[in-house]
Amino acid sequence: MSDDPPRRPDSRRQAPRRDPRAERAARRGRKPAAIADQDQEPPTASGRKRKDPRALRVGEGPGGRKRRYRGPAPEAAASAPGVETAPGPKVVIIEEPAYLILAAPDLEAGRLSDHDRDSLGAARTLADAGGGAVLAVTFEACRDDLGAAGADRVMALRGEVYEGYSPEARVAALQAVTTACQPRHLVFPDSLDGGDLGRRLAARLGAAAAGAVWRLDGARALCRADGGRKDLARPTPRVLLIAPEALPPHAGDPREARPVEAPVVTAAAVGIEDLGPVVVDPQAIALEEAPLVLAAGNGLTDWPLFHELAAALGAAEAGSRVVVDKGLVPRDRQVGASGRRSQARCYLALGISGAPQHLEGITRCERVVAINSDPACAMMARADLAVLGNLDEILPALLRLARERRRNV
Amino acid sequence: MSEPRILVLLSLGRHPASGRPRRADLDARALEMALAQPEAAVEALHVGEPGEPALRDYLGMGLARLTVLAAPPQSDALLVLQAYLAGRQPPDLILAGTRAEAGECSGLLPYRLAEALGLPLVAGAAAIEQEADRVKVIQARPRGARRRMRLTLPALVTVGPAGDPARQVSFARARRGDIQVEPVEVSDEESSRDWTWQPARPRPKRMKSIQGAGAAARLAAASGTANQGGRLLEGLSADQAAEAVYQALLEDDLLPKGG
Repeated sequence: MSDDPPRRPDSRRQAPRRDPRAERAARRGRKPAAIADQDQEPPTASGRKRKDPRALRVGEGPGGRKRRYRGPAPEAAASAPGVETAPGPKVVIIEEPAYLILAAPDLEAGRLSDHDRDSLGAARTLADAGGGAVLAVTFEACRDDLGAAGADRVMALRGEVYEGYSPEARVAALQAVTTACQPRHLVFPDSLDGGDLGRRLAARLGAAAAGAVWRLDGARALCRADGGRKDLARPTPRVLLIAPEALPPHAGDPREARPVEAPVVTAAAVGIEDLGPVVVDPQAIALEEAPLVLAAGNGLTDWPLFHELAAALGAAEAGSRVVVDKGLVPRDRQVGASGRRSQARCYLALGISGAPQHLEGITRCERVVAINSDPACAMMARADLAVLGNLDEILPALLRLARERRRNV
Repeated sequence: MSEPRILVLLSLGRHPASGRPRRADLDARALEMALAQPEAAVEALHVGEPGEPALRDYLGMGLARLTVLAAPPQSDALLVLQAYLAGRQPPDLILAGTRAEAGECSGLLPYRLAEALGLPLVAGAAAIEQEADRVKVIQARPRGARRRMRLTLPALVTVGPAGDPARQVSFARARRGDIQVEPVEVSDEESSRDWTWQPARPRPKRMKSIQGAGAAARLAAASGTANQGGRLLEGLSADQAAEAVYQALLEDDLLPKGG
C-alpha cells in the first residue's frame, strides 16, 4: 500500500507491513486520510496527514474568526460553480435473483408506515445476504415509492375480494403467490393487520414462524419472547413478523420496483362476513389511538367553542400541561413528556407555543397543523402547516365550515 | 341453539414487572367475555402444570371447573389440544387471548388450532354478540377504530387488549373451584430444540440522526424541535385561514362523512 511507512533498505521482511489505521478506515468504507489528501499535499515521512491550521481558518467568518451560524444551511455552497454536485441515486437492478423474499406491507390508507418500511428493510437484509430480490405484494394502490423502500419486484393484487377486512382472501392469494414464486422467507410487520395475515399464512403453509423479530444475525433471528423478559435466538424461520422500530429501513440506493404478473388465485371460502366500520366516540378511546387530535394551549380562550369544534370535526380533545394544570382539560388528555404521546395522523394545535416537553409528545404525529398568533414560537417552527392569526376569528370560521360542508357531503 | 357452548383456552401469565405467576391478562379478558355471555355453558382448558396456584385466579372469576391437560413445559400445546378435542363434541365458540405472557409468546397457537379444526378466526376482538347460530364480533382496529363482522359458528375468536378488563378474583371462589386433571399423551415440540434463550437485551431506541450538521442542528433533530420545513401562512383572513386548515384535514381523509 502506498501509505506504508518507508521501509529501511536492510529490511528482510517479505510480507508487507500491516497498517491498522488504513485497515480500520477501509472497514468503515472511508478512504484512509493519507490517501485522500495525497493530491494536495506531499506525503510526510510518517505518511500521516498534516493539518495546516492557518489554511483551515480561512473563510470561517469575517476576519478569519470562527463564528457559530445557527440559521438554515446555506444552499449557495452546494450549487456554487466549481463544486461538483453529487450524482443522483442510481437505481439498482437485479435481473436474475438467486431467490425471492416476499414482503407484504400493511399500506394503511395506501401509505407505507414506518413499520412497513422496517419490514421491507428486513426483507432487503435477507435478500442481500445471498443475491436475492425482494418481492413486495400489495393489495391496494401504494402512494409511496416502494422502490425507495427496497422492493425489487412489486406484485399488485387487486379486486373486490381484497377490500375491507378480508384476511381469508388475502391468505389464499399469498398462498398462491408462495406456490408460484417459492420465496425463501416471508416478511410481515408484526402489527395488528400484518401480524394477523402473517400468522394465518404460517398456519396455512404449516411453516415455522417467529413473532416480534428485532434482530437478524446471519442465519439466526432474535425475537423478544416470554412477555418481554427474554430473547429467543432461533434459526431464521420461513415466516418473520418484524417488531416495530427494531430493524433499520432500507437506506441505500433505490430499487427498481418492477411490476410482475400475479398468479391466478382461486376464490377462497369465506367464513367472515364484514359488516363495516363502527362509529366510535373519539373522546372514549385512548389519546394515543386517536387519528385526529384537537389540542388547546394557553392561547385559547373560548372553551365552549373548542368543544363544539372537536365534536364537529370528530376529533379527540387534548391539551398542553398549562391548560391541564388549570383544570380545563382532564389529566389523561395531556400531551407531552409528563402526559400522553400522540400518534395522530393529524395534530391540530390551537394556541400552543410548543415547549420542548410538549413537542416530545407529538414526535410520532404524521402531520402537525398549528394556529397561533406568535410567529416566532417553537410550535410554528415545528408545524407542517402553520397559520398565523387570531384564534377568536379563525375558530368560528372553521366551525362554520365544518358544519356546512358536513351537511353538503 | 338454546345454550351455546364456549371453550376458553387459558394460559399461565407472568406479571410484567415482578415476573410472578398470575392469570394472563388477555386470557382473563377472554374468560370475562365468555362469562358475560347470557345462557352460555363455559368450559375452560389449560395445558400445563396443574399444581400452579395462580391457576386458581381463573376459578376466582366465577368459573366452577377448570380442566388441566397435564403436560410438561416442553410439549407442543397444539397437539395436546387437538388430541383432547378430537374425542369430544366440538364447542360452538373457542375464545383465547391473542398472545401468551410467558414462553414463546408468538401468538400462533390460535391460528394453528383454527387451521387444524377448519374454523374461521377473528383476532383482536373487543366484544362479541351472540346470535342464533352465528356470532357478531367487534374487532379493534388500528388507531382506535372498530369494525363489526359476523361469523358462522363454530368459530375461534381471540381477545385483544381492547376487550373488557377481567373482573376481580374472589378468594372464596378460587378456593372452592375444582381443578380437574386430565392425563395426556406427550410429544415433544421438535422445532424448539435448537433455540437458545437469553435474558432480554435492551433494544436501542431509534433516534432521528442527521449526518454532517452542527451540534445545534443534531440536538434539534433529536429533541423534535427542528424546523420540519413546513408552510407558514401569514396575513390571511379568518375564512381563508379556516379553509386552509380544513383542506389539510380533507387531504388526510380525517373528517366524518355525512351527518
